[in-house]
Amino acid sequence: MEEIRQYVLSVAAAAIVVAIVTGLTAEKSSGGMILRLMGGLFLAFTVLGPVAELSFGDVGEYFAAFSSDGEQAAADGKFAAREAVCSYIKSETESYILDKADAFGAALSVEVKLTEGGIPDSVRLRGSVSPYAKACLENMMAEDLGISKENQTWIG
Amino acid sequence: MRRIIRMILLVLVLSLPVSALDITAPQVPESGRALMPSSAETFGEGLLEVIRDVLGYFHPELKEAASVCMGVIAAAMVASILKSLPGSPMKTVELAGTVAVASMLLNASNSLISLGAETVHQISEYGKLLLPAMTAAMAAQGGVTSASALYAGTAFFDSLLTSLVVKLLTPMIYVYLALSAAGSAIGGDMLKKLRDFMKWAYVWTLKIILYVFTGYISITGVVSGTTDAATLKAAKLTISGVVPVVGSILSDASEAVLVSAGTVKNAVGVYGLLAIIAVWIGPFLKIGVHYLMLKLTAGVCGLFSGKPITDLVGDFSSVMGFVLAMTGAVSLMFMISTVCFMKGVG
Repeated sequence: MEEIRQYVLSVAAAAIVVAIVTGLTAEKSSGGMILRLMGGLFLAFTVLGPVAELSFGDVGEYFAAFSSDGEQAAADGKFAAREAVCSYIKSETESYILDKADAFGAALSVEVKLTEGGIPDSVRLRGSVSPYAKACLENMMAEDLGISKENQTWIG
Repeated sequence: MRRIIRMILLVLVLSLPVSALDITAPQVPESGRALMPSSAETFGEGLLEVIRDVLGYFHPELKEAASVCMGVIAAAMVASILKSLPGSPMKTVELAGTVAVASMLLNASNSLISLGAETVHQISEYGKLLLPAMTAAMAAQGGVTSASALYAGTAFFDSLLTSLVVKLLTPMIYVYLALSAAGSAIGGDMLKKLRDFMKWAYVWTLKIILYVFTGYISITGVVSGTTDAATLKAAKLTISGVVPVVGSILSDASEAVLVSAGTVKNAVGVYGLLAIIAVWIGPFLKIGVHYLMLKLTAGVCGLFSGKPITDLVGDFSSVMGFVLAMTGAVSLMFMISTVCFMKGVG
């Protein structure tokens, strides 16, 4: 960018100098003609010289840096959404189990753990419950929620 | 009654994921705080409030611009009276008139050019804070590919445009003014042609960047939007295949998060749009008033003054047009990008 700025400034400065010099000389004299020709050549050299040296090779790398920042920001958003979904599933699953336990007159506290995909994986239940209610709840959790009996921990 | 209960239930369902998402719009910068509407809930009302507030700035700006233009008209008038006196040195008077008008206008223009560059910088800095929030909200709504592509494109073009403004376009404005003043003082076609070339290069640099940016946004919007829509559909199919009760909970959860992410995204987007407008509109109005007044002054000068002074005033008004285009391009870019983020997935 600095090179482009230098380029624009040098072209403008050269043009002003050439305009002043040619403006001071008589238009039809042979000296004036030679000066205008030299001024034209000088200006052409100033305009065309640095154009060949410009390079735009690192644009790809420049864009890749922003692309990686964008991916990071999107990953943050995706992670936040996943956390929100997991928190919702956890609380809904726990409420579902508590509702069923309540129907059997059992007062339990429930803690559900999820897999990385957000599916209920294991459950820890605390509180006193009759053997019949326990058997019904175990079956319900296995069939409705897909939590196998091995992953159901009963405390108390 | 049933509707009210339904509404309360909906709010309760949505409130959990919204608080879990925790995505907020960045605070509006200091320069735009005075114009930021008190409520940013709906874009239309917020915009009306901004416009109503900014009109209060109109009168002082008009007064300031009018005083500069009156000075210019007075100088041009004195120069034309002196030129019409018998035996007066025409060239010297014209040169002195040009120098007087140029120095008067350069003083006023310099602060407006700096204001334009500063506005570009502030919008760009605000955009750098807004982009990650919009990207995260869009990704949370399922538009991961679109969000990262939009972020990369906007950040790239913003960086390009801001660098161009600081390192090339602003110096080019001064070069344009130097060429214009020198052309008016010395005369000759070459400086005028170079000045016209500068104008062409300036306008087309901004146009090309905006065209390429809009093209990029349109193409990536279609391509990555389709990818995201397909991914979302696949995820829904997977959910429906899970154990019945769990499947229903999973489906409800993802639906609630998608809806609340959309709500958050729109809220952040509306606030962001209003913040960009609040930062941009004050300087835009100030520069715009000077632009119109200088156009009018050039017209008035054309009635009694020589071509060099009239052209010079016209060139200064063109410079105000450049600064308007510069600030407008950056804010338009961020507005287009924010609207694309708000448009959503698919």
